[in-house]
Amino acid sequence: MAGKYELLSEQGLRLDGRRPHELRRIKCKLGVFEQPDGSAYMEQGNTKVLAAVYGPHQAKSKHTESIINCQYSQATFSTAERKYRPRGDRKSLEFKMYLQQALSAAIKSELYPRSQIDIYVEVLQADGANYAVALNAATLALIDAGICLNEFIVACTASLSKSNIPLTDISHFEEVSGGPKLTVAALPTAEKIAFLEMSERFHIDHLETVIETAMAGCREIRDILEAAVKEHLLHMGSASDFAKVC
Amino acid sequence: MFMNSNLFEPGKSKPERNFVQLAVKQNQRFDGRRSNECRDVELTFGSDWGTVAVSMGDTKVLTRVTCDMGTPATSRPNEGKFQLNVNLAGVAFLDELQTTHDQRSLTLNSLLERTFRSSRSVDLESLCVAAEHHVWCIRVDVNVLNHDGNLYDASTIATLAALMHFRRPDVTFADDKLRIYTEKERDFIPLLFLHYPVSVTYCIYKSSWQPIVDPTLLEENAADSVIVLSFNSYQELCSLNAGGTAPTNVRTIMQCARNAATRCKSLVDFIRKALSLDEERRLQGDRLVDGLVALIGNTQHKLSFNKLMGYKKQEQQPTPSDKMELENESSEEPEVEEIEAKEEPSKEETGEAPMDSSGWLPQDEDSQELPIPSEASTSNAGKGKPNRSKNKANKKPLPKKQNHSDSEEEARQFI
Amino acid sequence: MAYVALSEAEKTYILHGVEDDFRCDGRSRRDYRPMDLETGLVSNASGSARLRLANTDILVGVKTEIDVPNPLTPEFGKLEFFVDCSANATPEFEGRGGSDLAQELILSLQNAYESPLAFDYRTLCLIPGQQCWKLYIDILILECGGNLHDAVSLAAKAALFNTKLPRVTATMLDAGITDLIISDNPYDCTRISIETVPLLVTVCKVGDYCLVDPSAEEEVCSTVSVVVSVSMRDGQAFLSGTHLTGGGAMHRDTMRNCLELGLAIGEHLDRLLTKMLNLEQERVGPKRPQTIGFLK
Repeated sequence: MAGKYELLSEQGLRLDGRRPHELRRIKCKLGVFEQPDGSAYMEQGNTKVLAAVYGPHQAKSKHTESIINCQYSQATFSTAERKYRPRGDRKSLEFKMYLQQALSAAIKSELYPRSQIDIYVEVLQADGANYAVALNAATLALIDAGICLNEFIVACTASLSKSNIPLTDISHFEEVSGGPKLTVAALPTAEKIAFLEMSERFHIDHLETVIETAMAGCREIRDILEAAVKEHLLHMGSASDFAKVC
Repeated sequence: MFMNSNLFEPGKSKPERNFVQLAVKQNQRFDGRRSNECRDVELTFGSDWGTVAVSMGDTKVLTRVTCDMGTPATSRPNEGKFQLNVNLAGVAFLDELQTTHDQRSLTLNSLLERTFRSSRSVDLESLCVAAEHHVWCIRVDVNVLNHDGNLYDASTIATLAALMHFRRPDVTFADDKLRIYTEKERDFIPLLFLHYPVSVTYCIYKSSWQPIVDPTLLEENAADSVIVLSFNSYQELCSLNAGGTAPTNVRTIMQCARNAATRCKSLVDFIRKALSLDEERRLQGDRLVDGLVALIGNTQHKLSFNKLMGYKKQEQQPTPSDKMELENESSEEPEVEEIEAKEEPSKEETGEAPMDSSGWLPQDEDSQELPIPSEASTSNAGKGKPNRSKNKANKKPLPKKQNHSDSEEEARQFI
Repeated sequence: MAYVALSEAEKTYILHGVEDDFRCDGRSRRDYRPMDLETGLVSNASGSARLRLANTDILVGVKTEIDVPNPLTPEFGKLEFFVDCSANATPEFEGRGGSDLAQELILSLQNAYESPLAFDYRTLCLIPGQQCWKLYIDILILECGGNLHDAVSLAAKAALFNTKLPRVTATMLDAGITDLIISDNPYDCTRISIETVPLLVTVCKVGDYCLVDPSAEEEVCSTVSVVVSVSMRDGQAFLSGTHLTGGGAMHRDTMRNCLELGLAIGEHLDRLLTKMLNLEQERVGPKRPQTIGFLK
């Protein structure tokens, strides 16, 4: 059962003029700050997220395996209504857990025993798909920090309109209008899903199409991210002549 | 999934993990179940409306639903309030100092919220008495009494059963005066539902591609990924959560989803039946269950999934009456060094040929597992649901196989 | 502040540099590091600004709300500060780690903005005694490179300059209750005058000399510093608050010198900031820069 509003007009356009399978405009940059080992900034439509990675460094507790520590925090001015606490509330802790799960599927933890990798994500503006953009920014930050990943881990959201047409990359308004919302964090080339979350309800017959739509979105985002990484390498490497590495 | 929990629970150490992974690879589980078999679900209703205790094996959850008059939220002035509260209480498992939002309670809370609140299972508008002034506030308290794996399923079943069991007082609002009637004056009214969701949990291991359903604590802690699906009786997906260190592919998830959908439907039917039985009992004026100990102990009032659903299939069976719950599967013990017990599920009923333990066949065997038909079952026999094994090769769930009239199967395949 | 480990030799080196009026990066004791300022980055906030002072990165968002004024001051609006030290700056700020630092910054800002001469609260009043604007100034510290007080106050001032308060009209209902209608038009707004809004200047005592705009290393070397809040009125610099940080002590004359230095620098800073902000405001339409914010 989709939400209260019809998210697609008769011409097949969404509220912001996109077609159902179109992503929002993505802009990203690696290496925004100097202090963290790796940092990245990602914009997907109006959602803006900053990610910083510290590590690998000595773990605080004695563990033989690597520890992946995340923190998800939202600036108080990020939402339309002022958010009272930036982090520590239930939603942020949930997202923190999901980030940990997804990233532990991507990071090659066997290469970092007894070490801790800290990933901090700060949402500057929240306009839908907060977790997905946060994860994408975290991936870029990890690459900037030089931490070995199995593969890009990319997240994308998908939904279903009332007329059962799947929509990719939902914005905040589409989220709250009550339609189903599916978030997928996947390893696109391996076609594996590391994390999947869904709320509201729709019939099981549509599940496969919605997941596939989200996976297609993930693949698109991955191409964009890869292009950004290559450009960053070119930019960084032009000074010391390793620009043409890839 | 629960990365920072302590080491006192089974399944946390490396040797245990390796052992479980190997066992799963060989398609064997510690309590003799198959990979697509669930434990029996037992429901006990309390004397108050809205009190339910659920046991799945050793996992025990107690849920209470209460209501109160209150003012609605300003953003939704004509909807009632629905509050969900999960209490893990440290009773559930050994742990060090519990933080306010530890991971287990967070996931459980989030799942229950999504399954019941976000998917709008309870019709909140029907709880409105006077818009902007008086609405009913429903509060659900879920208490986990013992954790032996699969808290999610037990909690959702308990919550749904409690909500369906619950009755609120009748109320009139006229001329600005609120009048709440007691039970003696007017009967209490049940809640209105838009749909009935329950969940099913699967665990995935890196060593094998096959998910196992309804994990015990040992299996859950050693798992690499956990998939929790909630469906309602109309086969609509209400919430889904899949995550962990072992990435899965879409096909696996779809398979789990299809099997979960059918199991959820049967679970909702079971709850309905159990509710009607309870109602009969109350009408007959039977002595109701008193007190917590009676509620969770072994009492006469347990309503077992296997029995009720099995009854449904048998035409010859007499009207089902309350029976002592018969443990028709030996439950596994979540001990640390558990020797893999390939026990044949035993039955208390009068003799029937034991199931051949070819239950360890890989999942694409189904029909061969139909039991050797035995003689007429006694009325005490726990009937199992017909085989419905999860078949990965064909993507369709197999049709329900009717029990050959008198046969009994011990292998309960609840997918 | 973010912990920077320095050896004795390094500290001595910095001290000598300060004595010779030639700091580690070549500045004199009165020089500021290069700054980068941008406003209007966050569209969800009524006003926002981002300031980059070498390594220090601050993002400020201002959100507005209608509230009931304090009964003791029925003609004044309200201002509330909130500082969030993001873990992006350093892993020590994870969870509640940065709350001490945040509290300190909030207190200095509150101290500076307390006087109605520094910030004209009357402009925030809508209906005396009944309704007023409440501004939430939310400061997010993204990177710590020393001299947080200055950066925070500069960014806050810029954000206030950027804040657009929607125009409010009042209609009179029966029983003396007035109903407020807030204009939906994003261009129909009023601005806040920031001429007298104070700036904080940190004057740091390293060895026997005072310097402004300490870097993180210089902060570690100093024993005590004075945070001076400077407010301009009619072209003159006034002191709107002071605050001592660090565990050392200061001679009375040194204190006076620091205050004078702070006032002079503050006046200079203020003039530059106003010029910057006016320039920034004119960059609309075709003059808009291609990349903004963090994408630069």
